[in-house]
Amino acid sequence: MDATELFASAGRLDGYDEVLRARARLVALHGEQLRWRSPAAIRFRAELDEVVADLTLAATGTAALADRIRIHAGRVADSP
Amino acid sequence: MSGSGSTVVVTGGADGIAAHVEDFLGLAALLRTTGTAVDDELAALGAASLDWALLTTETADPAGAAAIRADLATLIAGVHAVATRLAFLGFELVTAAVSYRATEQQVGASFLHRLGAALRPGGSVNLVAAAAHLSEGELLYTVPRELACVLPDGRPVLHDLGSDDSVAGVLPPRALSDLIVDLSARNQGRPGEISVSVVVGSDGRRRAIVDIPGTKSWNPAPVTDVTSVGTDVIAIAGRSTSYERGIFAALDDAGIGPDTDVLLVGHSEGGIVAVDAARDAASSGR
Repeated sequence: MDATELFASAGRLDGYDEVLRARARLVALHGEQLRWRSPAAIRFRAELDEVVADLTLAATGTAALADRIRIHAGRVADSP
Repeated sequence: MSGSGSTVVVTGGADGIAAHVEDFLGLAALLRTTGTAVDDELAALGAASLDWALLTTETADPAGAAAIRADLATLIAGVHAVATRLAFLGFELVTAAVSYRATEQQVGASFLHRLGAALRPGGSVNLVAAAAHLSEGELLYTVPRELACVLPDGRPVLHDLGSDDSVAGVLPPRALSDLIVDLSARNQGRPGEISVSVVVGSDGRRRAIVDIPGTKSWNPAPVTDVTSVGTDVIAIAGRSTSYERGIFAALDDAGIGPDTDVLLVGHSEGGIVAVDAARDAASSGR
């Protein structure tokens, strides 16, 4: 049993976590700069905020998954 | 705009339809690429190799491997859902951009078509044919200037309606809000109805307040209403209108001369006419 691939996967997930957060920030920034003012714009912004929150949530899930994989990899490495 | 041998096209602006459309399309492109990217990047993480690693190591930690598989499935489903929503929002923005453009063209074409129909036969400006090629700036500035030369305007006829015993007519305004309330009351009146109120200040000086309501008739064909949309076009072009000349006639009729301070309070078309009247009064010295 080799934990190497598990640690490598966890590392890739760390990178993905950062990418998701950066993309969430970029979408939020561009959304804030939209000059659209109307009831439809208010509705759209609310949806955009939800998507940004979803992206951030996915990033948090990614980080948690990476931690879980590292714990598993540690147990694998310690097992006889 | 050009410089250093290259051409730069400047569109949009701080506000307006073109700026909105550019905003929409820019953000739509970002949302679309973000949605595709988060999906592709997730695929590039190598879920298959992680699966294989879990398969070969799960005997050491079966519960941990199962939890990882469950978390991974949740993450993949969540990212797919976000990617779909991003694509949908991008599509929504593109739809809004198309709708804005179509509405702009329809409103512009309809407005000009109706105004064009009201023009005298053989008028010097073929606006209907040009409508499809007009920019927002042309619609706002060039078209009114051209139309103002050919739209009929007529002359004002003054009808004295007597004293106004309503609250707006009796109580002198004490604040800006009072002026707005009075103007709002006057807006409910008949087409062409304005008011000239004379107030005497604590210094004993007489001053006049003129309430000038907005457009009452939206029919672009020639009408006898001095507050018609034709007046809008002529006033926007900065030309003297029957409405404006009617204001001066009413001031004369009320005995308001050049030595009396006059406050012109206008709503919409009334505001445009007020600006034109103030400018013309200042330049003529009245």
